Amino acid sequence: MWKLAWLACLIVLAACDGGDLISNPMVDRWCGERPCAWDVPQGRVKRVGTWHTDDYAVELLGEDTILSQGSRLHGEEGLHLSMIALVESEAQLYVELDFGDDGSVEFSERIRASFWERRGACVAIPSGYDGDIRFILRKQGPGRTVVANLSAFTDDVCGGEVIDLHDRPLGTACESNEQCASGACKRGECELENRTALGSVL
Amino acid sequence: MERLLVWAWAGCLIGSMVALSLPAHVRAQRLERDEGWVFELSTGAVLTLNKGAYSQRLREFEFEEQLRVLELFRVSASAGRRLHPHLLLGASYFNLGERDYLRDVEFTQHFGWFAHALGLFVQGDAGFGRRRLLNVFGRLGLGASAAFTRFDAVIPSAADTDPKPIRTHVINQSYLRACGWLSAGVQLMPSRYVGAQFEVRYVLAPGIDNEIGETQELGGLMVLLGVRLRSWE
Repeated sequence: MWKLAWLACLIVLAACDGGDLISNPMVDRWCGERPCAWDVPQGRVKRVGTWHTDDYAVELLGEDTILSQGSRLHGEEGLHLSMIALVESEAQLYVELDFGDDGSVEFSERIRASFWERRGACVAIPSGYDGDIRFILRKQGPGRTVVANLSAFTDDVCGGEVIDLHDRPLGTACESNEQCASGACKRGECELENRTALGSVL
Repeated sequence: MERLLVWAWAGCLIGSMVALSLPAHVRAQRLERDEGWVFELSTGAVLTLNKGAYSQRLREFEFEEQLRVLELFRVSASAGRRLHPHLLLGASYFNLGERDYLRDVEFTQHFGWFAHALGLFVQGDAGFGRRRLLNVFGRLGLGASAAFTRFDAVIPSAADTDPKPIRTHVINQSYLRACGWLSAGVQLMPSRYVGAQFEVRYVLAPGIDNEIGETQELGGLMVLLGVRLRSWE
């Protein structure tokens, strides 16, 4: 009985955990040639040391390399992305977000030159967005680029312009018809246009 | 500061060698009815916790310092030989404390260090009262620090499918670096052979480096209170 009670408590705690949206944030677990839970769809990466030879980071090699990870958002209003970065002045490193994980990037921001300093971005996301998201680190051009200790936390205080997200799938929160792939935003959700028509007939 | 310490130490060493070069009978006369060998054992605490770039870097990488009282505790043992009524040459050992950091992101990882120092010192002093009842001294020391770090590093290729995966392994590293110290204090010797001493010591010991090129200062300002033993010539 006690074991069941403990299990219930753990489940509740896990459900309430507003923790890191990124898996393997320290990039210290490696699955072959890439950090576990991360994808390298383009270019190559390498495991390197940071302040300690055995505390790891990932170096984006070459001149056009992408490191990414898919995750899911559940109605958060803001997203705070953070990492410790070594970015040489001639290197171009971008942090990008692909809402819906459909291959189109809705947010992109360049990370300025850094010598093992914490860099990041605070992004105001469409209210009520509940869906897939892909965190992308894209390196372009020459220069050394190393990142470590990545994190993505929900953050309600991210100011600035909210990302205007189009082509939202059915059931996703919306404010206007243009935001929905179906072209119909009803009662704050993207719906099928013909469903609305059918409803009016009935 | 390090260069100043080296030059001052070298000057004192030359001075003590000059004193040693005096004819034996002259030295014997000068040392007559003066103390010969001295031994000291002191304990105390460091008053400054060094929070430089090195420890800041650890915080950046999610390590939290686990403050322990033992970190502040210092012990020092010295032995010396009087060469001149105002000059004493000796060797000293003292600990440079220890520190422990904890990171709990995906796995619990500790990083910590402990360090010791060993070196030679020259003491310039002035005694007052019968049999140096009160001895006021200043010291300059130069030696080496030995620091030992321990890090629970993640095994990067540990298989997720392992039912009880061993996620970390211990990486030990050691550092041998130069260190120096300046100190001043008083020695109270009511007895012919036993007395007490109070010392304020500033230690410069850049003892640990990280791969980014930042150094952790292991020294600092410490106060020591101890027992002093001596022999007579």
